[in-house]
Amino acid sequence: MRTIATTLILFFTLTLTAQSGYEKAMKKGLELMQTDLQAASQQFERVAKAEKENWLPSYYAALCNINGSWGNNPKEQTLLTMNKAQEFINDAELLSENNPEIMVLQGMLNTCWIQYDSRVYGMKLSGETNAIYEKAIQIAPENPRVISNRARWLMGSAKFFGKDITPYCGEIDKAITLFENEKPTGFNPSWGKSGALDAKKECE
Amino acid sequence: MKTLFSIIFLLITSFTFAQTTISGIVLDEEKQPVMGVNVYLEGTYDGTTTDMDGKFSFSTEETSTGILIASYIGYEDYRLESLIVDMVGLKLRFRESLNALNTVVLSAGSFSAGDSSKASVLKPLDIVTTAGAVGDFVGALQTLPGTSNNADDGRLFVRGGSAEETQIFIDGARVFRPFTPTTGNIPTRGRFSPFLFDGISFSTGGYSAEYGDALSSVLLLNTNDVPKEEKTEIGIMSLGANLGNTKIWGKNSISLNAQYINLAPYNELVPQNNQFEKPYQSLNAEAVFRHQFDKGLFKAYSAYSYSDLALIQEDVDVEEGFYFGLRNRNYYGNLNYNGYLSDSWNIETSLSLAHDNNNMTIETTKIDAVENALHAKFKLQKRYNNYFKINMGVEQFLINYKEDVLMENDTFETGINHGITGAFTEAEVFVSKDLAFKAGLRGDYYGASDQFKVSPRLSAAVSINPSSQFSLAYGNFYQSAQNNVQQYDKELQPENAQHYIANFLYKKNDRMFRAEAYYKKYDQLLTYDTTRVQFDSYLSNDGDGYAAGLDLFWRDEKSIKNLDYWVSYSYLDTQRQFRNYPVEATPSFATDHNFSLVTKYWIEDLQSQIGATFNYSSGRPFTNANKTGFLNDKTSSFQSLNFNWAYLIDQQKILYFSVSNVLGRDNVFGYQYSDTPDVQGQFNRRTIGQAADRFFFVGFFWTIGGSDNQLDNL
Repeated sequence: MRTIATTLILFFTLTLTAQSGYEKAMKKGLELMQTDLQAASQQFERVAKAEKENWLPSYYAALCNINGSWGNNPKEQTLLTMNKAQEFINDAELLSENNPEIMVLQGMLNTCWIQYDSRVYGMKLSGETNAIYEKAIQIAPENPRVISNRARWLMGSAKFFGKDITPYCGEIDKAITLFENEKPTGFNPSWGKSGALDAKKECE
Repeated sequence: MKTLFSIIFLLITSFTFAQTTISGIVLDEEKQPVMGVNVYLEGTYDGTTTDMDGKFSFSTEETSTGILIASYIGYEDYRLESLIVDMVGLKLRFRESLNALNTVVLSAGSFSAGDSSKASVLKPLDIVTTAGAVGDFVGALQTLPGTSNNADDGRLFVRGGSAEETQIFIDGARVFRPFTPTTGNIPTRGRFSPFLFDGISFSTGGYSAEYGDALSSVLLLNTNDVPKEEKTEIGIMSLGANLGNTKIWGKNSISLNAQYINLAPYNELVPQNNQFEKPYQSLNAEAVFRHQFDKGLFKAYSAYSYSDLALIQEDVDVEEGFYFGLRNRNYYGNLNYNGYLSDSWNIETSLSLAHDNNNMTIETTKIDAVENALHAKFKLQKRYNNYFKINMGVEQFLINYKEDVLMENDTFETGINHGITGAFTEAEVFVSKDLAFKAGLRGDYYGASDQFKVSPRLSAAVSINPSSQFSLAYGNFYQSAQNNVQQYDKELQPENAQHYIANFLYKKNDRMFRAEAYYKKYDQLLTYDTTRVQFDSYLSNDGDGYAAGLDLFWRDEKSIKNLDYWVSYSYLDTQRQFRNYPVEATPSFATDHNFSLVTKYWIEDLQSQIGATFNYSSGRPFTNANKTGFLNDKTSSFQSLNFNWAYLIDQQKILYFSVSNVLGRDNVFGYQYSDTPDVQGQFNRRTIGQAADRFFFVGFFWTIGGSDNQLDNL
């Protein structure tokens, strides 16, 4: 009896260590995201290589690279970062099909490409990006990241055509309410409120 | 209790003992430390990022062997499989990876459109937003250096070559009759809708060994890959209407496009210089089907086109002119599969089939020509790494051509069946990101004349700094005679050209400069002794010639806000003795100086893009019958100012307006001299001018589906 107990305890301890290894690594990645996107991306990349069935590490690695490609980096650096982001999105998609959270990332990355060279990618990707957001909102009509990023994309297009952006402000408000009520579970995505608040400022 | 203790003790010791430290340094090719590199043991969470000195150190509980990975964007991944305990004081040598921006390109001779690479000169939208091009991709290419503007013809004339010397390929397979036939001074257009193509690559010489049976130039078109959204497109134009639709289901998609053009209403409104009996009308229908396999993509492209027209052709010797009628039916189909066999092997196979039926009526003479043609190609690519690739392939052309001439109740039948078998191999070597070579060899067996021809192709490129590079190309090229010539003499050999090209390219911050000098030597050109090729002509390969010149291109999207412009200039010096030329001379389609200025200006407040294009070509040679000599005179220069305006009504609707030759300049392409002199002993002449002084185009385009952006159609 004692032996069984010992073995059981040992077994639990071991699994617990294994669990916390993943949790520790993910937590570290999320902390790094606040300070150093590159280090965070590399942390998630390591986790992704070890967790072959889990889409979240690749998802976060992609998110780090997308956020890292905005701004005034040299063109070459931006291009490499965007390509890296695409690789992680592809990896995440292979593990989790038709996932609206990943679709949001693809939509954001397309926007990066359009900013990078609008004359080449504006034509190529704008229709595709519309289609991605439409699909995402059909699958997850109450997901605040889907609602907010889709609305921000449409606001960008409307601004380009000199159209009124107010039709999308209601969507932003809806997203903010949903963000406030969102209960994060595990490492599932829960970011995006600050972006929605920024967009709200444009409405006012 | 004892057992438990011992187990725990054992466990702790093994844990403590298993903590191994992995350490080392990452250096680049210049032995400089690389900071920020992700170094980790594959399959574990253990890893770290290199510090400012390129150093790393982390501990792991792993024992025995492991795979150490060092990865950083911009560099090739480094993998080391070894005993964990040996992973101490490591020196990892990092190699910069090749990418579109940092790597030298083999740019001699080629222009590409639609990507962000260094050699890319045109953006996808340019094909349709260039004033004067009116949605014809060939029109936009005519603003690039190396082409001679022949506005009365509409096809591509490259570096002193005739229009037939340019071959067009869709998804790797040859297009046998890419242009709708026309007559006289009515310019032709490409049969294909520019919206169905994604990448366009245009080479004015020195191209890859993959392309055979082309003497001067190749134009490579790739149909769009898998579309991501469904849509319907409607276009209403002053000349006709356009309808397109894209459907997606599962891993399949289909895009359809149909266009009907009829010039009759337009000709009623705008006076024409030609007397039309039956104004030009055409119907084009295209379909692209795609299926995504796990390891590749299958595409089937199919196009049908019908066109007809009839007019009274003016003639200096026949006061009432003569009747000319033309009807053409063309079918083109193309199957392509491109995929991976393994990580390093890639396969591409394509098959194109074409059927062309052309009926021409000149007064009472009828000429019916039917051409059936096939091109099959099989290509393999082996990628050893990013630095070394080998391409190889085989291809077969089969052509069946039949011509019936009906003349005053007599029928003459001629024709030819022939084939060309080709094989090629080519190696691409990047010594570093600054130095690259390509060496290829192809062999072609021309069945009709029983000739085997070998064509080597070489190119090299070196970058001198991140924004500038030099490249060189050499190649030997063959092309068989046109079917309507070869049918009279099977023994005719393919014509030959050798290209020597030197290219300089500068690209930085949305500004680009390209200069290219070339020398092209022609040999074994077709000659004959009659006015035109006919059954009793004496045909041979006695002709030769040369073309030399300089092409300059400058594009600037940055200096002036919202203005994008490019300037091309080509200088061409060419002479040849071919066809029925009595002496070596500059052909009438080759002009010494060609200049284009293309501007596009975006007005944000009006959501409009306005564009203006100015084309200039120096005078074309013609034979003045009142002077002695052959091709002894030149017309006045060709000049045309074109204007366009695209107004984005909203994301779905666009209004497009364009005028060609706004100033109405009376351009002259040549003269037709009378066969007999008048009483003063002078030969009268007829001016061959433009089909119309100006050309107006108004179109409204509407895309339905999703919330599509009309920029797509701009």
